[in-house]
Amino acid sequence: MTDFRLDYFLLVSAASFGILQWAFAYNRLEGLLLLPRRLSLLAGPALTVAAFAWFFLSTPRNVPDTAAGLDGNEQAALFAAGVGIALLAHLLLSSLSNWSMVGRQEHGGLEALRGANYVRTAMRRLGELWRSWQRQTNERSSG
Amino acid sequence: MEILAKADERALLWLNGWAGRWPWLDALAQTVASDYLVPVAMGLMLLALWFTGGTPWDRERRQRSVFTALAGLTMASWVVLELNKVLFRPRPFQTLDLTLLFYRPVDSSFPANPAAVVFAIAAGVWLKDRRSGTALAAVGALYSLSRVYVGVFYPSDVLGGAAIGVATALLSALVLRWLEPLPRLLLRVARAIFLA
Repeated sequence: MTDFRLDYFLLVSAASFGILQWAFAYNRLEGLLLLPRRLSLLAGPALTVAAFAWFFLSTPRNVPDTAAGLDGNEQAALFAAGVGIALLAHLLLSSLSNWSMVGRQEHGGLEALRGANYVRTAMRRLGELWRSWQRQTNERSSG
Repeated sequence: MEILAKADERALLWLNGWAGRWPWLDALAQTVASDYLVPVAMGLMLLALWFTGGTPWDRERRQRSVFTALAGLTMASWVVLELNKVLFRPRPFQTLDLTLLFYRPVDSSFPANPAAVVFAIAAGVWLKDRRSGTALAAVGALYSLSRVYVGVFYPSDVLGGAAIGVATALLSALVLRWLEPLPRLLLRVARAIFLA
């Protein structure tokens, strides 16, 4: 990966990380927060702004894709990769820092993460699916 | 037609006439016109839309707007790509005496691909979420204006691009309605892994 591509990838990853932190704090998804909620509401956008400031102030960025710049397809692919990495890192780090948050899984989707961390919620869901599948298999084989 | 072309040229010359007077305004326009500021910011806005919403119903509405925006921008890029095969308009800096504040793109000036993409995103979101869609359209308008200011597009190029963007977003909304089991299935999968 060239320097420009790496810089773009880092911009997207860091900026996405900040936006995710803000969005989770705004939506009161406590299980996904890395910092106290009020701090996250400030730190998230600050990280995003800092990422843009670093990207644009470090070196001139108006470069055509015929030189060192990125074409549309590369931009889209690196954007998706950057967001994916930021999301994955966020889910893992927030699960580690909120490991004791188990919660009661009364809701599905993101609502389940209001008081529970991602990894333990996902593991519990996988366990439920596994037990349900085993039960169904046993019923079929005995019937 | 001649009158419209003259008006288009005059509007460009007037707007680009401000370039080179105030270094801070030039630097601001160059940054806003960059390939990396507004497109990335709009992508991040879509990411924020996906994860916010007061209620699950509200969140689903926003997530569906993200689907429409993504389908719209894909379609808009394709339409511009196809049009560029049959239509070529030289860039304004090639035919007029302008203050160029940007690199020299070599593709067709009309229709403006950046305007098509940002307005496809804005219109796609606006169909389901008026407030966020309006904010995105304002950012898109600033982006398009900055591209004219730095001398790489005529005003009619960005208007044409914006029209294509809005049209493809409307078409995408219809297509997604026809494909309805698909968006619902994607949302169910995302909900099952706690990401929607």
